[in-house]
Parts: sequence; structure tokens; C-alpha cells
Amino acid sequence: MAEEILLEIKDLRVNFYTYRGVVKALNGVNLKIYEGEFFGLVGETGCGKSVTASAVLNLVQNPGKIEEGEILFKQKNLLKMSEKEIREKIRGKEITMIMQYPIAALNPVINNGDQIAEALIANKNMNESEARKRTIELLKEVNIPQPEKIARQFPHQLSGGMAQRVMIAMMLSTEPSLLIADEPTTALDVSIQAQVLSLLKDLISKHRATVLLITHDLSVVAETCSRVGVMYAGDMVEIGTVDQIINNPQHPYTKGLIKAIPSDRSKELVEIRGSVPDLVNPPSGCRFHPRCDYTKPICKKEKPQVLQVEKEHVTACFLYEESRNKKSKEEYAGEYKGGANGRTDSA
Amino acid sequence: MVSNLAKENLQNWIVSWGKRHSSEISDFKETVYLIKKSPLTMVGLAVILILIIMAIFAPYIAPYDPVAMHLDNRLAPPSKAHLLGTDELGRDILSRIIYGAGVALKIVLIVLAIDLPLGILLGLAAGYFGGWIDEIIMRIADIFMAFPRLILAMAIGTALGPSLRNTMIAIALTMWPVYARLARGETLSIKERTFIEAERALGTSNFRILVFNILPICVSTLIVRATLDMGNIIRIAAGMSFLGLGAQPPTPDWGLMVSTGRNFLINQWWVPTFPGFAILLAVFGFNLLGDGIRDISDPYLRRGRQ
Amino acid sequence: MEELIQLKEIKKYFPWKKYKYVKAVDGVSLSINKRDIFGLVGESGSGKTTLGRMMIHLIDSTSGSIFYKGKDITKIKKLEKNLRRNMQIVFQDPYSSLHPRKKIKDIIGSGLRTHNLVRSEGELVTKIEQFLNLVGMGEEHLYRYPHELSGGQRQRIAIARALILNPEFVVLDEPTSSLDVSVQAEILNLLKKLREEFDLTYVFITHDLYLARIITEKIAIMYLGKIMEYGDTESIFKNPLHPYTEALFSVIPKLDPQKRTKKIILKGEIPSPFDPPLGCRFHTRCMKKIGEICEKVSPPLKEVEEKHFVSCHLYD
Repeated sequence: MAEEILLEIKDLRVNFYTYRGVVKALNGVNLKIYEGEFFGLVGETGCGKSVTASAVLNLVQNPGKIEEGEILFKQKNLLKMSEKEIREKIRGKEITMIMQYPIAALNPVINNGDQIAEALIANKNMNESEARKRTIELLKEVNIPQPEKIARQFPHQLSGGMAQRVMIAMMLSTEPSLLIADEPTTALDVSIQAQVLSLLKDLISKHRATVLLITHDLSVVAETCSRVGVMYAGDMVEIGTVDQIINNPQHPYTKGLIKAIPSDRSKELVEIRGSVPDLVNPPSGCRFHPRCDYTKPICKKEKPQVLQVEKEHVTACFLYEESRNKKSKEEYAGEYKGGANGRTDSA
Repeated sequence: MVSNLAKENLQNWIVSWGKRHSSEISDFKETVYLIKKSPLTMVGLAVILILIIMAIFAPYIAPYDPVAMHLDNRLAPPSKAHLLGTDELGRDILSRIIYGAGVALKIVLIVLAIDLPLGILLGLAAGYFGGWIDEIIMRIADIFMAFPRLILAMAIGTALGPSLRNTMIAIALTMWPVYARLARGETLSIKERTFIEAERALGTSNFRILVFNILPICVSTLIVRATLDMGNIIRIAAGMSFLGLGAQPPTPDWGLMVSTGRNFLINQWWVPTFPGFAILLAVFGFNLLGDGIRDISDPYLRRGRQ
Repeated sequence: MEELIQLKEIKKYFPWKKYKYVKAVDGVSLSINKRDIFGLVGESGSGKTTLGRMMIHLIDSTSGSIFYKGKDITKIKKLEKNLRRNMQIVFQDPYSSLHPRKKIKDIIGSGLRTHNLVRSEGELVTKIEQFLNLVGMGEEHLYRYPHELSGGQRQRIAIARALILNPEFVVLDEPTSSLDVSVQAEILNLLKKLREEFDLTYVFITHDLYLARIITEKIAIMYLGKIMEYGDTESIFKNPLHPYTEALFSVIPKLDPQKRTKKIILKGEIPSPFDPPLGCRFHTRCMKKIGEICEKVSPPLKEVEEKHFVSCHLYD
């Protein structure tokens, strides 16, 4: 993996101005995505993962407003660019997006082949016959059987899985640096989901693109991504490699999330008590504290700092800060080994 | 003592009413907030409110009797005494316009009072039961919809004889298919929704499903549509009066005023122009309000329903 | 154990245009005991939802019989009121299963009113409050509208609506699939608790095998309107016999990388239920196809292990 940073989000704050008051949707989100990696952004409804994606494309719509922060894409701040510049250079070119319902995202009155060909003509300065040839190649690349036939069909004639492939082909046609996939397989059946995810993985390594996968399903992330960010109520609570997050989660929310997923690990589901807070009046301090089993007085007062756990692994939790302080008092070298063992236990 | 007890009871009742209806109260507050945020809707609302005030308080606002003739003061230009001038029979145009608001609103209300229930009843029956009931109702509706509305209204108006009452009947007869179709379409789509299936699973009867589950949604859709149509009704009514099929003299009807005033357009422009403006403003106001209400009732604009 | 529901060769063909049928359910036989939690697992088009709705007589079957406590309910045009009360359903999407313009009180109270189970308004309110508490919600929600509630809260309302009629048998049609994972756990635990309290029998419809494992005791795996495999949940998990089950297990996203077996990624799409493949329904995508027999002969359900049935020619 190249260690070059492709996208860096710094202290991003987004508010939505509604009748009930100001919804503080993103509360200072920090995130780095390296070139060529498959990054997963996980969280439940309303945690701000989709808002983050739309902020990257500068598509936060009224009544939403980006209050503060920087979005550096290839070292350039997207938030300082004009709408025209973003439309001409970034959106749909450098950064593309595939969505949960591809059939709704495709134009219903243009056949599948022409949609892709048009994107090629507009963005790649191809003439029509070149574009058509390339379209068929792209459709082949996304494993569509009988690409010529599918190219002549219209989006509504496709099944969900096929439409998502066409969408992927279309998004790859402009050779983007960053592909944002917002719940790309949520509406698909498991057997089709497996096909689409493995296809995405293959294509990414082949095209050296970077993917930001947004999903609510931690197991999908575990299967496909290299690194994960876990979001809760507008905060980034933990970021790490898949292995670090799944096997050594530090934040109580991440731990809760893992226990709440039906998986091969256990036959019991453990609830996270309470419910997602209303972001008009978010909890003070750490936004997770009303649902946390380890709340301390400080959690209610201050927003926890982002702390380094290991290389690549950061979390924002006072609990970790405390345990680290305790650990540093004990002998550090001996502890490190124990920590490694503890990892397998906690899993 | 007794009065104290009654007072307390009343207070308790108000508190519990507030509790039971807190959702409606906050919904209402939100509606007010959304209207305030939309300047065009506010303009529309203001125009319509002025219209309503004019209609209700015409006798107190209007400076003159709208039908009293002053042949010695015919076709007087706008002046301090007659702000908008007088017409060919020396009647004060401002007073006639103020009284005319009542006529226009009466037409709108009566037409809708006929068409909304009729449309809902027929549409609900057609959509829910389908089959031959649907076939008969909808084919009749198709026949009515096959003609341009104004022409059909004119034809019916002519057949019934020119009068304000017949104008209203004629317009009502041309508009009901719109509501029936809308209600039918709504019923068809609501009928397939899961919450209706849930009612069936509970064993709820067809009648209860229709009245308590489908009807409330239909009514609100139709009311939104009706506010969009109010301007239209005024327009058609004015058109019919203009052609002599509607209100008869000396009724202070705006369309009629334009019609009789049109002969004086060149030399005494104020005679047809001011009533024309009244029509324009009223239609404009209703359309703005209608658009605003449609937007506000859009669930996507509302909180928690995105 | 007492048998509650028995299906015999049940079929549902939906007419589509002329001479065409969607064969949603095509000959399913199974039996469900009292107090079972029976899972129906399958992907879209498998007919699991249609089957669930036929079990509670929400839609008619095309042929076959459904015995409820020994009584064939397919023969009845309209279910008697007490039978209707006995069978309830919780739908997948709580955002569309609650009437948007009715208050929670009227949503939950509708069944009570229909069946004349309460004599007064006061009694109605008391009973609804009792059930609101039972599903973990407060009385303050009585006069709210569904749009003021979260997804999880709405699903609790839907559960209360079904249970207030005191049913014996509840079909849960993917009750958690449109909810967040943390809420899903809450709802499942609630459903488990309620089963103990009311002695309920559940049919749990899902596309998620792990979810099925957590809540069900028996499962039937469906594909294109037929049962592929059927038996105790644990024995199917330990030893999946049908190639389709095997493939399904292998493709579910898993948390632990070390547990990941080689994925069996099925070729192609699920065939259209308009004209499902002849012979074994699964033969077009099967990786263990033996030969011509799979294309011609529809395999019957055979008991391969104790109480573990499979429909596949591999076990002939």
C-alpha cells in the first residue's frame, strides 16, 4: 500500500438548520485515506457517514451547511474550490460515487451502453465508436455476461446486481482516483452481494483506485476493507486496520457494535442499551456517554481526545486514556506482550 | 365554590387536551414556521386574507353601496371621493370590487363543497372495489375530461340558463372528475401499502379500512389539490361572467364588471382595469398559496420523515 | 409435541398477464409445533414471504392444504374472528407498516375495537398502556404519530399491535432487516422474552443465516419456491447438506478472517420465478451438479440425518 495520503478530512463540522433547531450532524470529523486502500466507514443510521460522503463531493444540501474544516484531496482543499471547478474537475471525474439503489441512479430512458458511452465521450474525449468499444470492454470487466445485449437494454430491465455492475462500470469509465460506495450491496441478496464485493475488490487492485465504502455492516467491512473508521452520532470514535478494530476494539461503542452483530462468534446478541441521541441536543462531552457502561464524570464534561493505540489505530475515549496511563506506570516492555495475548482473549 | 371547581375542571381538561394533542400542536407550529420561511406563500396568504376580510366586512369597508346608481357621476376618473373611479352607471368601482370578493369566494367555496365530497366518494369506491364500479365511474369521468373545461362549463351554463347559481353548478360538474381520479389513484396506491395489509391481518372490515385508513390520506391529498384549483375556479367563473353566462347585473361580479367595462377601455381605462386586476390578484394569491401548501405538505420537507 | 400448523403440498401461483404465472411457492410441506421458533430462510424470490402470509391466511393458496390445529384453513373463504385473532404478523418495514396519520393509540387499538375486546375507552387506554410497557415503551407515546418515533420504536409498536389480540401464532417477516444492528439486538431479545411470556409460536422469516441461528430452533431453507433443506437449526449449521446451503454459508460476510473458508461464489443470477428451471431448481447455479438427473427430475425431500431433510440428488 502506498503511504501517500489521497484524502484528508480535518475537523469537519456540518450542521443542519431545521425547524426543531440545529442538528449537529458532524462534530469535528478527522480522517485520512491513503492512496490505493479500501477504507470502510461504519456506523448506524444518523451517525453522519453519508453526510461525510456528501461533504467530500460538496453535495451537502440545504438546510445543511459545512461550518468548518478542510477536505484535502490530493493536497487541495475541496471546500475552497468553486462549485464550477468541482463540477468540472472533481465530481464524477476524480471522485465518483455508487449508491444503494443503482436503478434509481441510472437514467431510465437511455440504454445502459449509451449511458456509459456518453460518460466516456464527455470525460475522455473519445469519439463514438471508440466509446462504444470501450463500453463493451468495461461491461466485460465487471463480469456482465453478454455485454452487447445488456448494453442495449434499459436500466429497469436489469436485476439489482446487474444494475450495480453497470453503475460500477460507469463509475470506473472516468478512471477516478477515489470511488465512494454508499451501501452498494445493502439492497442485494447475499449471494449477489458476494459477487459484487469480490468484483469491487478485484477492480480496485487492478485499477489502483481508492475506495471509501460506507456501510452499516461491520462484517462486510471485515471482509473487504483494509482500514475502518467507526462513527457514532457525528463523531469518529475509532479508526484502525480491520484486524485492530475487529480483534482489539478499544472504544465501548465499537465493542458493543461487534457484539450486536449476528455472526459466527456467538449465539447471543448483546444490545447497546439506550438509543441514538437526538443531534439537536447531543449529549455533552463524549456523545456516547449516556449509553456507555464505563461512563466516568469526565465523559460528561469533555470531548475525548483522539489517542494513538498502536500504529494506525486511534480511538477517542477516556477509558483508553486511563488504561494507558495505568499501563505506562507498570513495566512497559512486559506489558506489551500481555497486551498481545489479551487481544485474542477479548476476541 | 362551584365556579372554582368548574374552573379547575376546565384547566385540567385543557392540560390533558394539550397532552393528547401535543403532536398536532407541534405540527401546527412547524407548519407556521415553514410558511414563514417561504416569502411567496406569505404573499399568497396575505392576499387571500385580505380577500376574506373584504368578503366578510364588505358592508363596513366599502365606502358606497355597490349597486346604487348615480347617473350624474358616470365614468368619473379615480379621485379622492371615488378612489378607483365610477362605472357607466355611476357606481363606485372600489365598493363593487370589495363586494365582488364575497361573490368570488362564494363561488370557490360552493364549487369545492360539491366537488370534494363527490370526488372522494366516487374515487374511493372506484379505487377500492375496482371492477365494474370502477369502470362505470371512470368512463363517465373520462367523458367529462374529454372537453376543455371552460367550453364544457359554458355549454352546461348555457343549457341551464345564465345565473350565478348555474355557473357554480356548471363549474362543479366540470371539476369533479379531477378529484375522483385523484382519489381513485390515491386509494389504489394506499390499498397496496403495508399498513392496510396490517389492518387486514387484524381482521378490520372493509368499511373500517376505507373510512378510518384510506379516507384520511385521500382527504388531505385532495385538499392540497383543491387549494391549487381555487385560482382556476375564480378564473373560469370570471370567464363565464364575462361571456354573460354567469352572474347577472347588478351583481358586483368581477368578470361581469370587466365584461361591461371593456367598451370603455380606451377612454375610461379604470372601468375594466381595476376589476381585471382584482381577478389577477386573487388568482395569483390562490396559486401562490396553493403552491406553498403543496410544498409544505410534502413529507420530505418535514422533520423526521426524510 | 403438539403440532400447530401443518402445510401439505402448498402452492401459490400469481397470475401474470395471460397464461403466465409467477410460481412463488411451488409445493411446500412442513409442520410447525407449538412453541417452535421456525425459521424460513431464503433470498429474494424464494417465496418465503408469500409462504408466511399464506400460513396466516392473509393471502389464499392456489392448491394444497394448511391445517391449523387439525383444521384446514384453505377451505375457508374468510377466517372466523377468533382464528384471525390467533394468527398475527409483524412486517419487515416499520416505516410503512404503521398508518402515517393515525396515533399510536389508534394503531394499536384498532384490533381491540374490531374484535370488541374492550368495553370502554378507558379500558382501551389501560390495555394499550399495558402493552406499550410490555414492549418497552412509555405511556407518553400513546398520542404520538409514527413519524415521531425511531425505527426500533415503530417496530415495538408493530409488535404490540400484533400481540394485543393475544395470538398463538405470529409470523415475523424480517422484523429487523430495516433496523440498525444495535436496535436489531433489542428487538430480537424482546421477541424472545415475549415468546416466553405469552407461549407464542413464531415463524421467523429472514435472509440472514446467522440471525436465523440466533433465534430459531428449526429452519427451512428455500430457493425459488421450494424447500432445499429443512431441519434443526444446529444440525444444519454443523452439517449443511445441500450445495445451496453450503454456498450461502460461505458467502455471508464474516467478522473473523481466520474463520473465512473459501467462498463459493454462485454463478449468475437467481432465475426468474416465471419459468423456474426444470428438475432441481438450483441446478443452473449448482457447483455440485451430477448430471442429467438434476435437470430433469425434481428431487424429493429426504431424511438424510435424523430430523434433517434435504432435497438433492447427491443423497439418492
